[in-house]
Amino acid sequence: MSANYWTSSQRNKWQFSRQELRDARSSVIKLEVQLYGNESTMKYDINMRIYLHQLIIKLGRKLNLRQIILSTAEVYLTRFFVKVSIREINIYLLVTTCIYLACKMEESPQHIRTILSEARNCWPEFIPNDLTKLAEFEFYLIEELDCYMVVHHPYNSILEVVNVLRDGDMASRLEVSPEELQTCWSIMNDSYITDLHLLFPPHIIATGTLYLTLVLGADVRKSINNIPKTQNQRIEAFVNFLAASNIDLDEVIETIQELLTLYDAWNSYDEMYIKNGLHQMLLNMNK
Amino acid sequence: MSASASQFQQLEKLGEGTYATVFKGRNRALGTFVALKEINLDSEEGTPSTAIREISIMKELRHENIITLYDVIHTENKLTLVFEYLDKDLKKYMDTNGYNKSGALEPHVVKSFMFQLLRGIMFCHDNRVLHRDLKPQNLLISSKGELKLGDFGLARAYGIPVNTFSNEVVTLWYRAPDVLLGSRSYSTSIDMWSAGCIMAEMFTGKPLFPGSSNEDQLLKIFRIMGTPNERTWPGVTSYPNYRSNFNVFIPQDLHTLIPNMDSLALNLLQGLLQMRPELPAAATI
Repeated sequence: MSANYWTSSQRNKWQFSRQELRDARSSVIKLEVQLYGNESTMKYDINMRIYLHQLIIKLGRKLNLRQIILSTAEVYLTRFFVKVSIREINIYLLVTTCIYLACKMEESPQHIRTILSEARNCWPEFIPNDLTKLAEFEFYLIEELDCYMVVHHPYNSILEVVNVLRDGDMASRLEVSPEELQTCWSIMNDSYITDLHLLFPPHIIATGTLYLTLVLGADVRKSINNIPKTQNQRIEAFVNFLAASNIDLDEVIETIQELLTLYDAWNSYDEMYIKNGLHQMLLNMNK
Repeated sequence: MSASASQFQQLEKLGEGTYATVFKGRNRALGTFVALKEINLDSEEGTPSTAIREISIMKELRHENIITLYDVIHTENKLTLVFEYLDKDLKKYMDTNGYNKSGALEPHVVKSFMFQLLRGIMFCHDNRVLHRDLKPQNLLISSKGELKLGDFGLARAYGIPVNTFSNEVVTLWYRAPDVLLGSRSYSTSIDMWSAGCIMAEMFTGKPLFPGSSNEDQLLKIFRIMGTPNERTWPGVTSYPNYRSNFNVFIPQDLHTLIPNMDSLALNLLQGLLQMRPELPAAATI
């Protein structure tokens, strides 16, 4: 991705404190209640977000897209819901549009017909057979994003951290195995379900996922040959690195907590409940 | 995105861009001028990728040597980018301000413009953005003598189009030899080459390599810079458009071509006009 994170619109325009995010969301809900009354059980909560995440993965797989495109699309989706209520729009069309726009931004533009027909294969009852609907929604999405479309991801940051750890001094030297890096990537992919990308810079999220990987992945240590260390020593080395780095540790801890909360919620995630509720809502919307 | 289209009075057409038409506009409330870049939307294709690229990059880059994007106005079937307005582009500036109507600029003017051009490029490159279409028409000059980079429609694009949507052909004159030879993995060096071509043009008033086709463009370059071979440019023969029967020219002395350059200017020009993509001087000041 182009441009520099520290001077980016992501940092200056699309990063919030928890309080700012709460305020923005409560005004969305206020408006929503004014418009539609109070009766909906469909909320933009962690369950809904897991569902949306899976919609993105589903369409992304069909279109054979790179992960970075899906992650950018998911950031657009998350930003969109800072301003707009889930009850105002057709989320299937929104997901399709976010992917369509992310493809253009990440330099892999897909033809609008390709995207639309794959989306219709996935969700025939909710994607209109009308190209102009997608083109119009794209327009609307760009507007809600305030035209800020460059997104910075933690995928590069993790590689930088891993390099620093490998070349570190004795106390903080750590060899991160390819399997562990793979685990980090999966956790990072999941992190897009949460608010993390609205709250913290990419390197914080990368650091948090690496910590989680080192602590959880106690058994994946096959490729470490030069300096054998026990798991505790490895975590200690990472902690030494963190202590010496200027990385904001409070933010790293918050990241870890947010991710643990996500995995906890995932255990009780009920897809059918969300799906049925959403379909009920969309059908009412069309009445 | 607070502005609305009616806020601006549309004045004369300034030009036809790669994917849009540019008008001069007047802010009705303030009386100040702006440049309005209108992009017509195709309801069957969504917002053009070039427009998305330009908007997203201009939203990230704020620098005194880069044109400012003030606002983006959405209307039903049109997207209008509101840019800061500058009196003329470098092409027009050279036409009207060159001495003896030759188009050539005084060395101290060239020096100031080159400094500003390289600062703008350095800022782009520091932010990992390639402009990819630097030419006198895309460099805007204010009445105070400020130079700003404009038209980022091709910035960071993959592949450089030969033809635009209109009949206008994207000029080849400022294109780096490795791109002409078919390289797809170009880097910051392509902007440095363009800067070199522009610098020479400011000194002489004439384009340095006014080629008429891809092939002719390469020959025009070789005629002055010398035809490359494996010894002068290892790997050159493996480029897709390389021909073993290129006419062989020997490099010419840039100083005899452009006698009014001092030795510092000559040094800079030689640093910028390096055929091998890994060699050009970086835009650091």
